[in-house]
Amino acid sequence: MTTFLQATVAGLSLASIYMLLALGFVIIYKSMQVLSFAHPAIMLFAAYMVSWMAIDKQLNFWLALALGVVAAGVMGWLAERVAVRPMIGKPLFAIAILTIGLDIAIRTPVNNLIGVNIRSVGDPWGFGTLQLGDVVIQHRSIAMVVTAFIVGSLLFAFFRFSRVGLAMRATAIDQEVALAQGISVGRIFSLAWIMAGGMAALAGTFASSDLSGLTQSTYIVALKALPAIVVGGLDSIGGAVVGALIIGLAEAYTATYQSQYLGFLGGNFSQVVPYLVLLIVLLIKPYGLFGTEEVERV
Amino acid sequence: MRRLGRWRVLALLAVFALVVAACSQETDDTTADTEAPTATTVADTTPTETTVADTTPTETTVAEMMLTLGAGVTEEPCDGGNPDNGCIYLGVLTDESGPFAGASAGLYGGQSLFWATVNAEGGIGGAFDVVLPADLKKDTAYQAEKLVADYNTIAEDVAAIAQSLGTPQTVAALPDYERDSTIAAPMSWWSGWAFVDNVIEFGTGYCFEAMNAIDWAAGAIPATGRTFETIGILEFPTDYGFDYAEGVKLAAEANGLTVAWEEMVIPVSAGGDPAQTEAVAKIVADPTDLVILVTGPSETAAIVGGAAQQLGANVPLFIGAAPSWNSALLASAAAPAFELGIYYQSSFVGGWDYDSVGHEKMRTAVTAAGFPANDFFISGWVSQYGLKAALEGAYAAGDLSHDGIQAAAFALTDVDYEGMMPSRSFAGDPNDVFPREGVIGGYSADATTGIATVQDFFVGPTAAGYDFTEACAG
Repeated sequence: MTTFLQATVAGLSLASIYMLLALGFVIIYKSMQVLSFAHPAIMLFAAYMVSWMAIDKQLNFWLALALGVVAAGVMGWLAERVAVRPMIGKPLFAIAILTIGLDIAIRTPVNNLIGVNIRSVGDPWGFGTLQLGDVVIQHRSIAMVVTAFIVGSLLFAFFRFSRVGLAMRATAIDQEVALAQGISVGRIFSLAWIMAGGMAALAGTFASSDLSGLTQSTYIVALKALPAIVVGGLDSIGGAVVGALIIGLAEAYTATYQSQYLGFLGGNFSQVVPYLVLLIVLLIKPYGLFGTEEVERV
Repeated sequence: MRRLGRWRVLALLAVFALVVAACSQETDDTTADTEAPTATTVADTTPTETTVADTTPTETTVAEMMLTLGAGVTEEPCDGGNPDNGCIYLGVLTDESGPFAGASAGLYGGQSLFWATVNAEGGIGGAFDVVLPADLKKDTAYQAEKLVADYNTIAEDVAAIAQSLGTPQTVAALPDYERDSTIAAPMSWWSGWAFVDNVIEFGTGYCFEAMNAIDWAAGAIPATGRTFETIGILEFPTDYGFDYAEGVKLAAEANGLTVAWEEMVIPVSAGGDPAQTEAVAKIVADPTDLVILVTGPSETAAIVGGAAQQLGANVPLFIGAAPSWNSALLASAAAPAFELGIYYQSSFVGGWDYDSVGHEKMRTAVTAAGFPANDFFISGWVSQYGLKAALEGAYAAGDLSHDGIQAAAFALTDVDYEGMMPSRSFAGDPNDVFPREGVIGGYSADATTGIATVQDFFVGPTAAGYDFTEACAG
């Protein structure tokens, strides 16, 4: 039982990071029908900014984190205004490729800034743990789960109760009708990228607070959020949360139990599991568990 | 149109800002970026062999000597070098964007500083400076096909390869090295190098390093009152991992120990789990007395730290292969785990604070260049003694062509590493001449790079008795 609970804690920690990233992916997709492959680079940029401010400039971590969120929001806004907005109306495939280019353009200089060694983000959790019975919980895991819960709740409230949130939902449903109602669709686009950038900053900082620290490879974490949004449904906020939980827990349980019970699958099979789950869900529900099915007139 | 123009300006500004940010990166002790202080641009190399008339090795210029010059060797001085000396250009095939990117700057920096020191002492035979120009340094990204392609772009401009990083990568290039009679210093410690004619390796191999580690542990761990009966191995699925693991298994069997499990670890840089959940879960679920790490620094941090968090006082001891440690771990979130005194390190060379003439020269050069201490400087520095001896031998024989350098390299009977590691011969049967000495370090907060020597150079009984007729693995 202890092993199971320990794996659950690890899975929830992973799910928290995937959720913050997945929500960003989904918000952008809902507003523009664009899948942003620049998200990993924005996450890495934000994590570096936090590390630079907290370690190199000796700023208080929480201030550094806040500034990192702002920096990532600005980076997201710039990416949208400079690169993506002019492509509106072009084939979605072309826009997706453009975001891959953006990812490389942002990540290359950020990699140089990160350098070749492990960096710390100066977080206060460090090596600290909390012991509940036989289960050991990292302080950072608690912070991650709590933050993901708060961000998810705020986002739900924002879309449900605020006028801007309502405008974003209207834009997601039909941009032309939203325009006709006086909604500035352009601003909605920008806001989506800013919000996604901010959440990527939180995810990047949490990912970099891991024992292995911030490295040039940290961006890979963001790629695992892609299975989460596909599993949950590309245009579903709730789906992103559920998808992140499924992927995070599946990965952690596999990492814990696979070598004992399915050793013939080989080592590190847990790294394949997110994509295996994605494949299975796509075969059964092509639009994801909570995604909107497209109705085509034939 | 005005709005579009404004955004274009913004786009240009954003791109400009990113480029400026990348170029203005500060060198500090966190990132440990190093640029080679002797980096030069090759103005002109002479790829074809030439014979220069008039022979008087001393009191003459290079142009007046009777020397056969080959690719990568010129009569003209190096850029910024001794004006009376010729120039020998060496190539570097390193990994600046793959799993060992963290090592690259220190390795190249150590090699460049080594040759700068040699040049300051007069160079090869007082007649040639040696340089590793930036344009002859290639980023192979730890990919075999890229290393081979990169080598072929510089093959005609280099006298030898100062660094050929990675075992499978260097193995892939062997046919081309053989074609050109090029010798290369591998930045890998695969035991199979002993049986290859184009590679001038340094230090013992992973396999012997592992045997020594287990032989040492068999005595040292019980002496502390701990039980030592079982071993777990976590390794990269590469020749590095396989060769070291084979040494562990051989020594375990010789010492009556049990290898309880052996698991592969995917490097984080190759998409592996940053938290290494699977490896940590294995250590927790199937406890052993000792865990061997044949990984990189990121994986070491996650595994040692994760296991220490979950097991507390019951955490096992760890021995990492030489590439598993990086002094940057001291500043990582996992640092408290190492402070528990559970981490040891096997190596082929003494650590940063080791007392030897070579170490002192290296420390002086690194400090004078303004770089922070890093163990990768040691590997870079010590890797060049064999090449230096080969170039000196070739110069003495009057043949600085590729063939001449290769012939000189494998006639060397006493390469002196200035005490950084035991001297060795390259001439003879590998079973007789291959070095088997290893050194063991342990975490120490007082050590400059976090690792202090706990067992000076020795050859354990398993390594001493091993019949070395082929590579341990691979």
